[in-house]
Amino acid sequence: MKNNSRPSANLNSKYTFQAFQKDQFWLPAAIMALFMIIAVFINEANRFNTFRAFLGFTLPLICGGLSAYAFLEDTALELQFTTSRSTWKMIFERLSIIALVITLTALVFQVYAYLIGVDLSLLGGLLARQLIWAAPSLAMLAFGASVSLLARSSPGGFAFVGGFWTLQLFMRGWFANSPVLRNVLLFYSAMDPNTHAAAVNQLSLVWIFVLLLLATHNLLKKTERYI
Amino acid sequence: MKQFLGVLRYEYRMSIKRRSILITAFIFSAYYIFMWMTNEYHFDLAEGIANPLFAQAGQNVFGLNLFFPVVVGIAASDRAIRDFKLGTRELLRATDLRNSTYVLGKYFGVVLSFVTLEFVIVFFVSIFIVIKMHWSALFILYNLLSVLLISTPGLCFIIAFSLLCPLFMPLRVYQILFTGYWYWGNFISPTVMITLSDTVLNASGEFPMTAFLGVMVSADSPEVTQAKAIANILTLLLVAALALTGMTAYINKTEKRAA
Repeated sequence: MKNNSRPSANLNSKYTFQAFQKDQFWLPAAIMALFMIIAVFINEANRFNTFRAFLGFTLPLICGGLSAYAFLEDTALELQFTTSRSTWKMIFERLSIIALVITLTALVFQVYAYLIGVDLSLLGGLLARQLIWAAPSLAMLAFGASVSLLARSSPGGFAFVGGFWTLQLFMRGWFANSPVLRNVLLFYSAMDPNTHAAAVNQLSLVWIFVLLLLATHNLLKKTERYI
Repeated sequence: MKQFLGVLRYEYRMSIKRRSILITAFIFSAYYIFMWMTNEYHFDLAEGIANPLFAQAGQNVFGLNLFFPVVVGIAASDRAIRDFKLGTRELLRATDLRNSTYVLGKYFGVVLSFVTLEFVIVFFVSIFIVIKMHWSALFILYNLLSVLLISTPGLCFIIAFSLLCPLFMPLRVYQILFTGYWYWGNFISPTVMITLSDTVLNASGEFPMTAFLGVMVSADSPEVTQAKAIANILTLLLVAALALTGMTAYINKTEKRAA
């Protein structure tokens, strides 16, 4: 009986850490370093905007880009599917590492702002400020994963994520002016922090994250689509 | 020449049949039509322009060009590297196909596939606008000419780098950097931070649109002379050629090392 059962695999972040896509660790740090350099050389008037641009605009893009490649580029994907590990565990392993790296990056960047004397209080208090990058990053995390699984292609998935991000960036004013559509605008709370509308936007982005996470789970369960 | 056309034909078919990319491009285009119809994308026209219909067509294509190259750059970036990953490159090495022919065939196959896609999108968008606004059918022709004038030089530029860069950096790193570059390098004002947007390396198509069609992105947009627009197009094509030369040299070098 025991011999016939599928091999089990425990929560295996070590596998993801060691064998899978090292760039998810260094890419956010590299882009942060670039913004740190820009923040030093940019004029005083635009320094705060550089910090806001990284936290509220750039981190969600990095998050979506990394998560679009979280599943299908694994060379041992078929092997992973043969184990008895639950789909949720696999999702947690892959996405939690990206979320952790993004969180660390955001926190280090805010410490850097403090060290060079940039006041981020315009974005809210210490906790409220975290929602400005966390809510859109979570939404993009699940968006990248679900779209790439839907397209059965990581580049195809990221083409959609990148296009969506760019479209929102160019048309952020149009989205922000609509009382309904501003709730799906990734950058709304960075554009208009400390308002009731920003809180509603963050809440709706977290709901979008939950819904897309459920979609990711349903898509990943259909293992035959990716073999 | 026969080999070049063979690679081009094969790459063109492979590139244009990608369902996920086609769906993505058409979804964003449909959204763009909606925006255009609700008057969200209308720029200032210079005083006394010779052909207002051509100018409308120019801004129509430029509006699409705000985000279409992002999809193109991302979609094109796995076209070369996949040959290495899937082992097709080794198979090609066993033939007498020269690396330069391979690179050129691949490049023009990808460029033509995306220009075709943009032609199709712009064709349908302009038919829709002609019917809705009761404009002259010449508008459709002006739109297709605008694709050649405004979009194509930029597409040639970004596709060359999308083929080259993933050979020596992880694919998704390139794609994320490229998405950020598109906004930073083409649309951020130079008064905000250092950017390429006011140089001849601007790939958005703004320079030819302003210089030849008289459409200004904003009222305070700098004046662009026709000489600067021509220099812009030539520079983009020249840099693309340099990137392809670099790609050929890189493949030659790695294959020599492997041998």
